[in-house]
Amino acid sequence: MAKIASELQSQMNAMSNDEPIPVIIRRKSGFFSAQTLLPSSPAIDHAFSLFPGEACRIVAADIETLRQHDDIEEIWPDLPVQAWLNSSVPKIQAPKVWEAGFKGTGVKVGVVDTGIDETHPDFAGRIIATKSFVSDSAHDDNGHGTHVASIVAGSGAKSNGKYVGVAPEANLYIAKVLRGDGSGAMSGVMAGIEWAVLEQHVQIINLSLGGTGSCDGTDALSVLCDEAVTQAGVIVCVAAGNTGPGSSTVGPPGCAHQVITIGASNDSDQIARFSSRGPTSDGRVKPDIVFPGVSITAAQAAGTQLGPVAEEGYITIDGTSMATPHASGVAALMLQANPKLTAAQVKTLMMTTAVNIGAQPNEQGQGRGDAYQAYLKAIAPDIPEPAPTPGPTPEPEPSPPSPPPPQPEPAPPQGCLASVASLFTGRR
Amino acid sequence: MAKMNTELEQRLKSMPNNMVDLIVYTHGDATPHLEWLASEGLKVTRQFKLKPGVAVTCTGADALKLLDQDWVMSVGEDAEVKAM
Repeated sequence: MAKIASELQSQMNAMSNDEPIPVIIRRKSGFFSAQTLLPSSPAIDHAFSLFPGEACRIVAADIETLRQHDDIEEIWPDLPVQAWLNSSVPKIQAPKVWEAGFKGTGVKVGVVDTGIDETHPDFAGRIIATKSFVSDSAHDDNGHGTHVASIVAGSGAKSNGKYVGVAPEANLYIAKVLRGDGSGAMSGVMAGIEWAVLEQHVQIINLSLGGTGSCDGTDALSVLCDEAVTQAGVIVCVAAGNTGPGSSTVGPPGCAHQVITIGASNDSDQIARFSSRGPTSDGRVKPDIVFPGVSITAAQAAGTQLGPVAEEGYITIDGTSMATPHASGVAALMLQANPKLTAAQVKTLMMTTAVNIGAQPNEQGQGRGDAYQAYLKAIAPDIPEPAPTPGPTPEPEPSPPSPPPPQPEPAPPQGCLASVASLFTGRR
Repeated sequence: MAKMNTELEQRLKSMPNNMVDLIVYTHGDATPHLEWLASEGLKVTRQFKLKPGVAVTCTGADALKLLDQDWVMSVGEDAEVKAM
């Protein structure tokens, strides 16, 4: 029986029966092409010379037919070739998910950050709404938000497909909550989250921001992030922070219980030195997962230069800020593939399919994220609903003070004084 | 659970005239309490609905009045955040 590449088998399982799949067929002999072997007589896109075979587009049933034929040696998916966002996007196997037909199309992602350059071609037609909570407009006067949004959902149009984001067809909802210097207040971030969740009904929130110092998840911003997950069902991806490598350096809202907290790894699957480590000050393991966050090239906001220019319209920078939108993009791919996934399921599946890169739990969480493995689990039948992540343990209510023990009745005075005493005690 | 962490409370007591930015979570909608907040010198800068509450700016002394209000769930700092 002919060998079918595992990626092709997965694609066949995911796609509908009448959807043609681009394939490359290698035959043992030069006699019979797919066109002659199949009743559907598919058009041949390209015939090869170095080995007998052809490229064509056929449905899954035809692939199964060819598989049975003695002359067919191997069948591969005909994958597109292009360079992507550095090496980070292929490293997490996002293109395999695209080949299965999912690019985050229509999924609503809120990027709560420094705003966005709406003129950048990589976002054309997909910035659905914007609002500023710190200035008159949501235009990005810093560059950070544009870079982050590009990692989530950049199309790569300005680079002719060279720098493409993880979910290049997702829709963007932009809340500008950080000023031109990259700073803001928790209350502004909270307002941005509420706008995205309650007014725009986003499915995913990307927070590539945070405070410093160890935390336990009880700060106001972390609490609101948890509410967004538990009450509104939104997937919230949060940067762990850049104050590593010391322990307990994950800052708020990275220590929130229900969010996905993301640390940074590099091209060699090592934890970035700057990536903040756990545990939280109440002893929980954080981050939950890591994604690439070193030397990430993505869109540049006009009029800014946050990092060195890689080519016109793109800059290269480091940070858990860059790792986090990889996770948001993966969540978008998962949601398009299976819109019924809950926030808890997305978090669990993303974490349990992560690649163990050999670091400590408080450095890597469950490991480095893998978009394709997460996608495969997302489309599997009967996905269990995970047990809810415990929230903060409330302090026990102070016990009411114990009532004093009853005082023993004084012995009644004896003799002639008894009558006198009774006048004072009221007893007879 | 304590409405305010000890460190914050001590800081407010030690600098009662300094202005502070706080986030106050409330039991139920904060709207009925806006008038009280204004009358007690706490300027409301934002109101939240996902988890009911307000962001306020006030002096340390005025902030401590919140601890006596039974509709107040928690009081925390409206701390700075930065792009990562």
